[in-house]
Amino acid sequence: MMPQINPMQLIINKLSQDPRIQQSPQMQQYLQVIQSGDSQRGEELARNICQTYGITPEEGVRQAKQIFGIF
Amino acid sequence: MNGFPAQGQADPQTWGQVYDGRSNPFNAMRNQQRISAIPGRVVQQEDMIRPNDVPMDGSVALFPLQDMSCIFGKAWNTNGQIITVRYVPEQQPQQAPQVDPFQVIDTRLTSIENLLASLIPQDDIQLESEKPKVTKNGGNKK
Repeated sequence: MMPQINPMQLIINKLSQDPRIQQSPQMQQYLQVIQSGDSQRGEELARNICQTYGITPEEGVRQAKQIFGIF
Repeated sequence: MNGFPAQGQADPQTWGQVYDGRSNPFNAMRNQQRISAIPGRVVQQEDMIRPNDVPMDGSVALFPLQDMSCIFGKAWNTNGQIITVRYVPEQQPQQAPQVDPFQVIDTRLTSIENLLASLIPQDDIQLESEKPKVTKNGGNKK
C-alpha cells in the first residue's frame, strides 16, 4: 500500500531544505507561520507580501502554484 | 534602534571588506569566500527600488540617491513588509566670519560719537580748559 503523501508537508520540507531559507531569519519566520497552521496569520503575511510586490493575492497564488508545480 | 531587524548573516562590520591574501595563498583562497558587498544600488528616485532589490536574508539594502541627498535603507520585516529608513547627510554648521574685536569696539565708539555729536549742539561742547573755574569764595575768576 502506498503511504499517504501530505502535499503541505512536502512543500514545508522542500522549503526547509533550501539554504537561502535556512540563512534568512525572515524566511524562517514565514516558515514557522506555515508550520504552526495559523491560517489567519498566514493569510495576513501572504497579503502583506503580495501588497509589497504590488500583485493581487490571486496573482500570488497563481505564481506560487507555478513554482510548486501545482495546477 | 533604527527599526531594522537584527542582522543575520550580513554583519555590517564585514560589509565591503576585501581581504588581501597576498601573504598566504591558502588565506587568499579562504578569504575569497568572505568577500561580501552591501546589497543595493544607486537610484534616481525611491520608487525605482523594487521589492526584488531587497534581499530576504535579513540584511539591509542601501539605496543612495544619485544626487547623494539621502540614502534609503530597506529590509524585510517578519510581517512580509519592507521597512525603510532614510539617512540624510548631516549639514555642517556655517562658520561665522572672523571679526576683529577691536574693530568692532572702534566701530561702536564711532557710532556713539556720531550720535552724541548729532544730539548736542556744537556751541555747548566746551573743552575742559575753557570751563569757568570756581574759587573758594564762590566767585568766578576769569
